[in-house]
Amino acid sequence: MVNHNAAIPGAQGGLEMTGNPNKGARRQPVVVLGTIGHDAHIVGSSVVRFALEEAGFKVVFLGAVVPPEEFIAAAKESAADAILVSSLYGMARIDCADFGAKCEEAGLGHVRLYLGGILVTDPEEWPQTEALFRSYGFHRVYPPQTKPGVAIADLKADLGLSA
Amino acid sequence: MELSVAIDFGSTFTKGALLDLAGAELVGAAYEPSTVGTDVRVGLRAVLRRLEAAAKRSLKDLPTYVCSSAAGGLRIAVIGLVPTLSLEAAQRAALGAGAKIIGAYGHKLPTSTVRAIEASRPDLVLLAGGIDGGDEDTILHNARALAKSSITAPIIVAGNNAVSDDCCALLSSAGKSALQAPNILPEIDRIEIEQVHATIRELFVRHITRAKGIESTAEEVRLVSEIIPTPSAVLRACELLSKGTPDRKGWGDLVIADIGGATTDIHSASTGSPTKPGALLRGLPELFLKRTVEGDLGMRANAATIIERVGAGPIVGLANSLTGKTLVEQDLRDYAEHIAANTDFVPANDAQVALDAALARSAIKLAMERHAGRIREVFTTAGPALVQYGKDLSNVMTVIGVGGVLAHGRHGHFALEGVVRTPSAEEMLCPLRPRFLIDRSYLLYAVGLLADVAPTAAFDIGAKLMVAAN
Repeated sequence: MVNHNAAIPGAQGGLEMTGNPNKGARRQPVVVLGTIGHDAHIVGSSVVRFALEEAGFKVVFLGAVVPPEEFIAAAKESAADAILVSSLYGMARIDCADFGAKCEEAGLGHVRLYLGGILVTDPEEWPQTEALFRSYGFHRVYPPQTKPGVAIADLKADLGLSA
Repeated sequence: MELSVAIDFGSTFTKGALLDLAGAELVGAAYEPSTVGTDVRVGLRAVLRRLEAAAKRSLKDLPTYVCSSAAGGLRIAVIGLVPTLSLEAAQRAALGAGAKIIGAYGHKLPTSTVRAIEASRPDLVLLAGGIDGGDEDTILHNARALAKSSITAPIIVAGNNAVSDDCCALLSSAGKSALQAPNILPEIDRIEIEQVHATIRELFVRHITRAKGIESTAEEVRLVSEIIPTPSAVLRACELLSKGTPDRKGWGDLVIADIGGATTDIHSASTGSPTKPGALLRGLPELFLKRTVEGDLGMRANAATIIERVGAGPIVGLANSLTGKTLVEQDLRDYAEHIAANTDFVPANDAQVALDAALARSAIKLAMERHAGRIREVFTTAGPALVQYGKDLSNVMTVIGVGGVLAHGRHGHFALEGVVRTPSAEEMLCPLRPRFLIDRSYLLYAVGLLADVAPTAAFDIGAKLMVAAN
């Protein structure tokens, strides 16, 4: 299997985590990324992945058709700072229902949870949609057409990284 | 003639084989009850005397290759972080090194778990956890816990490389023997086991053979290479027969089913890549050479467990298909109780032979299903998608059976058919149409021991000794 995650310290923007409760020493910030549930869409999350790597993050990329439990297992093993969940097939409501609670249970309460993709079909529903997924434990929820740079800027701010 | 000797110190028997590498022939074979508990040399000399009679010459100057599973084999306690990730990777690494896993523990170890590890007296501890650049706290916590413990076994540190030095320092300053190896799970989707295997091999030779009392073998024979665990020799034979040599075409994807009194073990040589087009491969990567050990599926020790898992009705049905008699469930339960209490029992009549074959087939089926991968169809809005976890062994063309019930019984083919995928379990990626061979002379270990020094001769000997199942 080709390793796309070769992390060269300082090579990409020199991002380092300090003051993170999980770490003493500095290290490259880690993000777990994948498409959740029975969703086979991988292009969107691949675009986000490359953008994150360009911005200096270490990305643990899980691909598509990823059960919630695998996000959590990967986040534990990699001591992830954030989990970015992609969902494009309109069933996020089912796949993400207790995602925040599961993370809490797994000792990942300090990990930032982001969700994006095509979560609903009707844009007018967005405020309710956003509220619903925030109630599931997601700290940030993005509507369709959000550029990766927006989420990356939010991530840097949330993690206390320089822009 | 170019003679070599192969020796296996088994748990019950010390076995020996005299092989002519020039002619790729077995010259003689012998076995004697194991004397590893007292003085290994007694049983060994008895075997050598029998081989000398067959050779009509002394064996003292002949190159000799040795493997051992005596005195409990290579007993390893495995520690990782997430059970389905680093702990699973560490278990696969240990099994692939021919070890017996005596305990597997994930997350931060509480004191009670450390006590349990102490009490189990492992030969080795394999400490993993965290991908590189990932979690550090857990492996550091566990290194501290091991440092404070009374464990004396060497500890291999094979986790997050960012804190490997720190873990080794913690252990060394507490007087523990700590060795570093690269992370067995450097990335979430990559397993690296070669260096860990090399370290385990070295420790086995340097310390464990002495602890088991087999080091004195070197005084009796001309030992020309290091002693290895018996399962490693079997895995090497599996690899050789599968891949072949520059002069011999290998047999391709291969499975070895070893059904014993205490465990049922499956070995596979295969990349396990999807055979169904478009299947998405998920989960931890699999090793080409994979070994699984089912400690709850031994033919004697766990007959009752096999019955519980498969059901008495189906097993009796299988037995009746062989004998034509009408055995009932009570016959099976009585037999199971008897053999659990008399673990070296040999079936004495047709009914018992049939029950043994039915139990063997059931144990092999369960063990194969646990070893092989699974495939699921998931229904997405874009149509169905296939998701595969583990190894796809559909195209395994050869299955080799090992074990008394197969070597001595009358229904080897019937028992081995347990590996074949059944319509009721379509999602288990078990072999579809293999041929069945049996290691009737218990000599796979010898093929493995000679695989590096004389690969073509070893292959030819293996091909001759693995005979078609009846």
